[in-house]
Amino acid sequence: MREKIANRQLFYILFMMRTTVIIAFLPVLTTADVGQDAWLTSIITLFTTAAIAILVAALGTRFPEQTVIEYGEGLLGPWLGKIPSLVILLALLIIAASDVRIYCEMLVTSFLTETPLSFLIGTMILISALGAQQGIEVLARIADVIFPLFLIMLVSSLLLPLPEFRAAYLEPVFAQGLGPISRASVAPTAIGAQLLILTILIPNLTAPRLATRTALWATVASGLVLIIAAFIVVGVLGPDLGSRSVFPFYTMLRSIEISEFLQRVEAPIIFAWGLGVFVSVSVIIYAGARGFSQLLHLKDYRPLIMPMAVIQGAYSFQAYDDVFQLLALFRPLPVGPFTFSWFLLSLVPLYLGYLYRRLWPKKK
Amino acid sequence: MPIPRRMFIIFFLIVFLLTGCWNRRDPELLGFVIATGFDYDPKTGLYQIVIQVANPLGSTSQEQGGGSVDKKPFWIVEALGHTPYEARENLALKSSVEFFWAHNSILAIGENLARRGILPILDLFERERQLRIITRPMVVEGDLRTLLEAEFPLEESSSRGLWRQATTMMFERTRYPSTVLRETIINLARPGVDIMIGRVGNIAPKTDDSTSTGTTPPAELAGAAVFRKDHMIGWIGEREVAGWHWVQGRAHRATLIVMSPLDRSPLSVEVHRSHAKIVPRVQGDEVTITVKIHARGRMQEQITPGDLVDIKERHASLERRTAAVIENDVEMALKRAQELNSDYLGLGNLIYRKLPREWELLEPKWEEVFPTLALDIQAQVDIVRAGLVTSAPTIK
Repeated sequence: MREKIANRQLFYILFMMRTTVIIAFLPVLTTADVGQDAWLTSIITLFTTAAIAILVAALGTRFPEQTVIEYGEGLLGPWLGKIPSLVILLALLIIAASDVRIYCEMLVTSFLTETPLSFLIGTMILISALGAQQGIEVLARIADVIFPLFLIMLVSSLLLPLPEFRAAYLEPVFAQGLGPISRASVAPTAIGAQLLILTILIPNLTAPRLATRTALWATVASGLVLIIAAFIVVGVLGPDLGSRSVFPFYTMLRSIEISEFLQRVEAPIIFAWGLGVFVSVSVIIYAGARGFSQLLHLKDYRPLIMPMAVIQGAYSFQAYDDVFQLLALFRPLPVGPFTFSWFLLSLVPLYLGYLYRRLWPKKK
Repeated sequence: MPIPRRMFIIFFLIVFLLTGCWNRRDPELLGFVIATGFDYDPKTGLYQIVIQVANPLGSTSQEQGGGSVDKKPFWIVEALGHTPYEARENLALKSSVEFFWAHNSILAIGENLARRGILPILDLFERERQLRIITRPMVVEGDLRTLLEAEFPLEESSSRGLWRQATTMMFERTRYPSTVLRETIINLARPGVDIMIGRVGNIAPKTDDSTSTGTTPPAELAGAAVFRKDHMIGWIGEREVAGWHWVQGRAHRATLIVMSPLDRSPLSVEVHRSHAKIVPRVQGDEVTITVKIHARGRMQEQITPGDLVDIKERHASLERRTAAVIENDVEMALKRAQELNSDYLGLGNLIYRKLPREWELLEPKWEEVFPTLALDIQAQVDIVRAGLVTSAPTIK
């Protein structure tokens, strides 16, 4: 019997997965030269990400009982059909590994300067893997518990800096034209590749046919958070300090000072971020292990989790020599074509195969 | 439910993570830095750091029993280095404890350093994880060490004293610009605005007689240092700082001395709300900026008898005279800014924000345009209250 999670829980998972990236390094501001117009970029990003959500979810809802691994083979044949699945699994691996790496880099930069990175990554992945071992239902319930906490910390960290907010830092609006704005929207759109997780999770939903709606709600909700966050971060830090910061959201929280008694309030949001990373990474490890077990036609995915986790951890640790490489990946040029190739090799063949099957149905 | 053995081992291992602070960095072994001062010695080319460290041994003065050692509640240490960071690290040679910087709330900048350039300090404060950009910067006219050693009669340390004084000034008067380091960093990067940092002056040397009730005030926060790019080019006075407050719309409360329309004797009007609307217009090189300031206030004092507020004409005259004081403040601020050719009022930035296309043409020659700039200042004051009585005591 297949494990079932509610669409609401999928919404929580997707929302936290997407919002942790905003808290991490606010890609709309830091990856290009958009400056004070970062919030305009966020609006564009909202639409492009929604398009990705529709593309990914729409295909999945055609096959509500199957993961991409199963319907991929159905659409493209047993061998060709493995290519999109492998690309998606690889994409998820890279996304989760980078997520963990960014979080651990943050911890090493600001809190635990002398702790070895490998220890932090190892702990994080181990805990996530233990979660994934329990199955998606358990993870979804964890998301249920964490979500309100996450939301409270997110909202309060967006409200507390408001006394320092200066609208003047956001002016002039739209002075540099469309060029920088669209350049800056590349990386946040590319991060929309996280939504590929849907291709594996849809059959686990109680209402798989409504998956598109759930995915869209999650995209819109996190998109709104992104717009507001971009607005407030620039209004508090100004475009220059904001875009020079490695973790602009964190830098903004560090400048909260409400009278004498409310200062240094950045720790809670870092916890929330960690919890969010934990949920998204364990869901991705789960999805990866399950996807792989289907690819190899194994009965159970559980034995694959620990090896997957080791690969995750090793990738997270080895893929980037230093924080500069990690940040360089998210410049528009590498990240745009890189993630585009994922879509090109996964969604495009699947859609072509689907079209082909619709136009020339197989005779039974 | 029995716990599986595997889980038990994992939980057991977690216990090892609960041993307290990494590398024995327990609070009692740390020295909490509460104020930092930086200066630069042009002769040696070295940066000097002076810090004030809270001393937990000194703060408990009423200890019972034992030979109570009379220790000061803080300690001042200084060191030198080729860069600010090196200077900071060199402090370790002179201290028995490791310093912890997250509680530092004051950045005192020596005049020599300010004139040379404060970028190295700004970089240190935004890069270092323990230091914070909500630190309050101030430029010191006088000796850094004397300032940090100064005794604030109502506070336990000068760090605390300066912090409170800066905060109080923000709400009470418009004579000192109370800003945080974040604003300095932001304004340095914004086009068409130069930075300005409050001034600490009239530092009184420490007196040994601490029981005296007549201790001279340890330091005065008034006026400001004005910069071009990151180096200081001059001091400005209190009225100019007031002008900056009006233009920025940052005046929380201001006391204005106005000549009474009755007999030209001085009286006080307290403004407690103000708002500025600034509109730039650019035609070629011709720049006109209209500054409209609207303030509300109350008459707080009248030293000669007579009816001022009941008679319409007198009331209006009083309001006009108060407005003229505000206009003069702004005029003085502009004149001084043009003298120093430092746009600390941010008028260029205003054009950049409101008319970005015109600014593109104007920016390369802004240094020539700015000194000839004229402001059209229109202040309007509503005096809405006059305290608990309507006029001064009557003499018959």
